[in-house]
Amino acid sequence: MSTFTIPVGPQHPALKEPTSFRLEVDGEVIVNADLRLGYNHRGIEKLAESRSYIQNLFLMERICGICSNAHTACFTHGVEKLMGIEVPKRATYIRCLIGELERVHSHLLWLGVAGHEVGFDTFFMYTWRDRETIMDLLELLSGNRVHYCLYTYGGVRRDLDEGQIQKCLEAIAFLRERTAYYLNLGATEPTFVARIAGVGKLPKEKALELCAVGPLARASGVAVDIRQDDPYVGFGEYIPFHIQTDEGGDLLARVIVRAKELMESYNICEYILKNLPAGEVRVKAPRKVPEGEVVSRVEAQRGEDIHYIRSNGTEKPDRVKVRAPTLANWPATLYMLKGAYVADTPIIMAGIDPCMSCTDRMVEIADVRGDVKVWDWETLRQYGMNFHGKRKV
Amino acid sequence: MSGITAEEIKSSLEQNLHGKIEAVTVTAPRRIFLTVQPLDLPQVARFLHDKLGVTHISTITGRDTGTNVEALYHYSKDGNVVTVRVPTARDNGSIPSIISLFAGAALYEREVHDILGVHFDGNGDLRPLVLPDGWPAGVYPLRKDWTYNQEDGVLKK
Repeated sequence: MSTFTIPVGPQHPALKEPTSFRLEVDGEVIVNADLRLGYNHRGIEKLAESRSYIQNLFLMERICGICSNAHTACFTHGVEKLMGIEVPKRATYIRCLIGELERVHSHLLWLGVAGHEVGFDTFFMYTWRDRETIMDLLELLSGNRVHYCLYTYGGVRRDLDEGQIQKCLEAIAFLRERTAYYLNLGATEPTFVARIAGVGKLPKEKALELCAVGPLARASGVAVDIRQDDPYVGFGEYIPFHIQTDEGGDLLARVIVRAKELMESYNICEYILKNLPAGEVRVKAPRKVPEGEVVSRVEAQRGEDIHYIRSNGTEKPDRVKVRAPTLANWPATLYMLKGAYVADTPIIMAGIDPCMSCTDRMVEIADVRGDVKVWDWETLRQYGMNFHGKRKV
Repeated sequence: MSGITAEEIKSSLEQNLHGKIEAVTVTAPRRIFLTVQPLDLPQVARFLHDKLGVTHISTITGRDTGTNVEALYHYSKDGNVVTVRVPTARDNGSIPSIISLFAGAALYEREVHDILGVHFDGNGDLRPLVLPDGWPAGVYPLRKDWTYNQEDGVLKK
């Protein structure tokens, strides 16, 4: 058997994130897969050791643009445990709300990406249009569409007022209706289902063995969710939460799990908005953190996010370790790629919802314009305008 | 939550691994810390996997204490995080690999090898994972004595 190795990435049109895969193929079938990370390694853990705790709050927010709140939440919860401070109840409700709103925008984004990667662009445009509703809400509540920076030690920076609560409730009612439609469409639309059912199979025992996390694990029937197992911000205690799983273990199951999680997030948000307790939203936090170590976890939208924080009694941490959920899901991705068709590579990779960072460069694999194989964004834009300019309407 | 509690894990570890483990403490609800010497790690990992039914390892944290290097294995079971601290030497430090039991730990071992220089015996694939190709050998950026303005951390063009 003779095989051929195809490099995919670091920059790739299907995966807007610098990660490099080496796919060994026999004809159309992938027989082996390997990966190389580090193209986005910014040394944040090293940097955190030379920044004060307040500065680190903003640094953690900037680990990722999509799950920024998850990292800040995880870090803040850990540091607060070391400080030994208790957060006012109204602040934990608002923290929970912002975390769930972030999950909603991220899952809607993923549904769109999944639609796009399988050539269902109407789905992509619908979900991304609806996602704007939630982006506007996040801006209304925090002042920012991304990097909300709502967390601070001892509570949250901003309170909610009646008008904001009313706007949130209206938006959630609208999104609930839209998501019910997507859930129905994702599970029953024949062409979409035919394209994603049975693709990227991950059996339950493999998900456990390869330590998969988040919606990927839950779509393979593994009932893990930090919100249930290791609760924070009041989950299970005073904010009701129900875990969502599916037994399918394929891409269809991943679509269904995420759509069901959206519905659960709407329930959580509505509960919070209707039961928000009165009171303070912040208590004073010390500048220096007592010596100690702590392991903090939250359920980010992509799965378990874990931080290890060690303090040496000064204004700066001694060690901060961050493990984002995507890293935990790469071994399972490599497993899913083996035996799959090359054509399914984009949707399998995108299926775990890898953290994406934008790139202004695109690699053109097919040699369609003479000797130029790599196009920059401007060339691509010009090409697009020329192409559509010449078409007869 | 259901399943095993942190106190139950602690007493089970103390009863069955006497002499192999040190300083078992429950520091907070659902958080257990213990210290294990490198050569005892495979036995402790096997006990966690086979007897306590731990299948998930969240990550491995590497830490430079100034005098030695520690690897902290964060195992997860029913919402509890069991952190196994394994101290090793700063130079040529080595710890037995656990990937035969926890396949999901392969990338975490590679990362700790990259940034702190700990060798994992039994992990055949310790190629660079997060540091770039051409990073100088024997330079580990997460050690406390490595600073940004050091010349050996700058890649040659």
